[in-house]
Amino acid sequence: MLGNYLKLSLKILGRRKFFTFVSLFGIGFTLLVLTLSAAVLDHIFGAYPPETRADRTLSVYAVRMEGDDSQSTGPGGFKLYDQYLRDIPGVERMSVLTTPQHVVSYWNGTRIQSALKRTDADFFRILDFRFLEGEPFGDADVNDGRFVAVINESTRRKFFGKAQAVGKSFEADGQTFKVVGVVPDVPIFRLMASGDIYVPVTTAKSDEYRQRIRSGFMAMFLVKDRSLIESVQQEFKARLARVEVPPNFKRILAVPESVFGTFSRVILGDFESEDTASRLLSILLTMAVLFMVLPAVNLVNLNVSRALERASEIGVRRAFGASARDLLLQFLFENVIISVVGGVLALIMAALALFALNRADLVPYAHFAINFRIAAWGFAFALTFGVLSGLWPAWRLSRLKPIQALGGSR
Amino acid sequence: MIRHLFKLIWNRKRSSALVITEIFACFLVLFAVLTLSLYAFETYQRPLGFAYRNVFALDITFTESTGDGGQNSSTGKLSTTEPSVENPYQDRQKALLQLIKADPAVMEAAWASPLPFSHSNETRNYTFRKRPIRYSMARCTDEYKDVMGLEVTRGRWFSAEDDGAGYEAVVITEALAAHAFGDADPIGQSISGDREEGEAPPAERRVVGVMKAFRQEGELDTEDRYLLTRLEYPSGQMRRIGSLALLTRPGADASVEARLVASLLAAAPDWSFKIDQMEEAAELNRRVYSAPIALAAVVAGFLVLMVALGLSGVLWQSVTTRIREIGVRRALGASAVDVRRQVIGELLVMATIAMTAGVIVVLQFPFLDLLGPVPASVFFGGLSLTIVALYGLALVCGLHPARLATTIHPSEALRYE
Repeated sequence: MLGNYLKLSLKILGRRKFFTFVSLFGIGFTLLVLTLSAAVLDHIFGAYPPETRADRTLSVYAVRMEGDDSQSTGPGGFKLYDQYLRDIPGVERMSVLTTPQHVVSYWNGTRIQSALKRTDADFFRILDFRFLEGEPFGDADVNDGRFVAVINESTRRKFFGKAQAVGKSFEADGQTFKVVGVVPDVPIFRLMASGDIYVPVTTAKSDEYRQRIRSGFMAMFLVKDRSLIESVQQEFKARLARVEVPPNFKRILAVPESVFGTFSRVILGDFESEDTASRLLSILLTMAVLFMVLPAVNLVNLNVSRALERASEIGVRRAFGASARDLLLQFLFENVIISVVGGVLALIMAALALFALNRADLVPYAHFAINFRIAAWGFAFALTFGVLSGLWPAWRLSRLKPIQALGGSR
Repeated sequence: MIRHLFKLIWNRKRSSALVITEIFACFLVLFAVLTLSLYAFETYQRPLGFAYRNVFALDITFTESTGDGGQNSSTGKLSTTEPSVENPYQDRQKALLQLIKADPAVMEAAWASPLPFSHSNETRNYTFRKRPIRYSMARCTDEYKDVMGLEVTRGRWFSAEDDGAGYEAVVITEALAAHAFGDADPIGQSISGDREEGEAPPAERRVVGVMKAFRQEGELDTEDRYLLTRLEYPSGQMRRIGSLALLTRPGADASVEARLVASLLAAAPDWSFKIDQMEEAAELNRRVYSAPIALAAVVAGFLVLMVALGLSGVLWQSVTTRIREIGVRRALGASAVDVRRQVIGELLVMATIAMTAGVIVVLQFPFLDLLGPVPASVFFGGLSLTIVALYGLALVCGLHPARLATTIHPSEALRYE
């Protein structure tokens, strides 16, 4: 039976090549765009190393201080995290790190710009870096203010070419660091993990940062278990109320949240609302739905007018005893077939487009790829499309009375 | 003729409704993309107000600098309560400026913050003469005019004569002058916020000059209300300034940067220095601003192509199912041109219906005052472009099916199955 349907569908698709092409083009293109967007989103938010524990990591990118007639929003200060937010019950580890500082090294006559983060040893315990060489710096290195550094793959290449880097020294921002470890590149979307050079926080040029409530630092909290996230957020809020804020200000606000939450806060430039993640998500979903409206209408339109053309064929089939259900199934099947073919084409094109995108190196350290999850999503999209756009015309046609259909008029 | 077309469309209302819906959706997409592109193009054409060729941006990180990507906003009255603390760094700052100027590749240098292309934005918004006013601003020392090649069109640039004058000397862009003062002469006027009930009057911020423009983030930045305020070394404001703009001789390259940074680090080992070339930053900004538009245009282009193919398919289909109707018309003496006109005319009428709906929807933006910074000329320009483009599209889609309708001989058409 299925084989019959398949044969029939392919025959019909081959009969009117222009229509098949238009349908395929519409389905393929729509799925291409959706698959590409999904690949990019997955690349930004999926749990990939080093953020393998993302599901129970909370991070703070920005805090907000409010006074009567002034506000100050931006990264928090070291003192805020170190003095007020340590040892929250339920938190396994906590790391304080600077926002990336763009430092420049002049190395053998070339200019090398790197994003430098000053942090602590727990940074490497919360994040799951796969070390290509050497190892992270430890608590002793941080406490003693040793000039050691973990660098990423690209930085290793820029400074040392293909050679091994551990044990060698380099200069950045007028300071000389000894390399102790090399890690893979992390795309810049990963606000916490991304960086070119990681060094102990104690190597800062002045230790004045220890007195600041609002400047230059982010924090990550590894919660013991996902179920504790809410209680940690509550305690965090309670602790913030106790912070001694600088003069001119009355209170300080911040929300520890997931990677996506932090990212949406930055993208939307909103540091006030409690929940920005769902807002960004709804914006993205609305965009996806709006984008799909046009192709869907286009496809339904084509399907409807094509189906009428086959009225006499339907008449013959009904006259020979096919039920409305049989016809409905047949039309649905045809649409599913064309959607699947379009989906496969879209996946192939998406793979090519992502390959080109990676080659062009538009986003530093980004490596987009289609994975099986996205491929499955692509097929789900294709099938939804096929069913949705096939349903109405199929339903209308299957209800034609045989005599009407044979007469060829509606 | 038109009434007849309406009747034909009404007779096939289900499939006509689908076509109209499709054209309507297409209208919205085209309108959004065309208006956006037109807006970007119009912005690009406006004067930038400064020259960034051979200008280096020097960023300094030290204790008090807030060069960490934060946003600070304050209301207008804040300036009265701001402590006018002594600036403990003024000798160091003056010495660093001298050191930079001593480099043979540097022609002029000025302290300024935020710098062009820095992605950091300082905005003020308060009530001025009982109206809300909003603008972006930067603080700079007197040399900034020569470093950035600013063009003062009215009044004068600030200078030593403003030292300790009891007011804050500012230079504003023409756009801000028009926004704040309308046609009146802004020179010598105060642009401070209104005095509030029971509070001391705010410090006077006096306009001494008007400059052509200053769009901080480059050619595609839409913010043209800008204010430059004068930095004095002893002031509490100067204490937090962490950047300089350097005008260098043509040809200055990475070796000049390295030399400058090395000498700065030797003079101030506890501070951090970073030099960028503004030309590169400008190029990056152009890409950052235009990439989303280009992406939207490509996607919209494909969507429109898809719609065009779909519409001609639908029309082709409808022509073949109506071959007999057409045969009757031809047999009754209608010429090929008449039939063609009918097919295309039907499509154009449907396009008109869809676009009328679209225009009604889109017109809500100006009516509800939701245009934001988009000028009305750009909005209506985008609208007319969209209408022209869609009629063009409908014509192109109709041509082939219309020809098809008339290639069949009437006698055959009448017997067509």
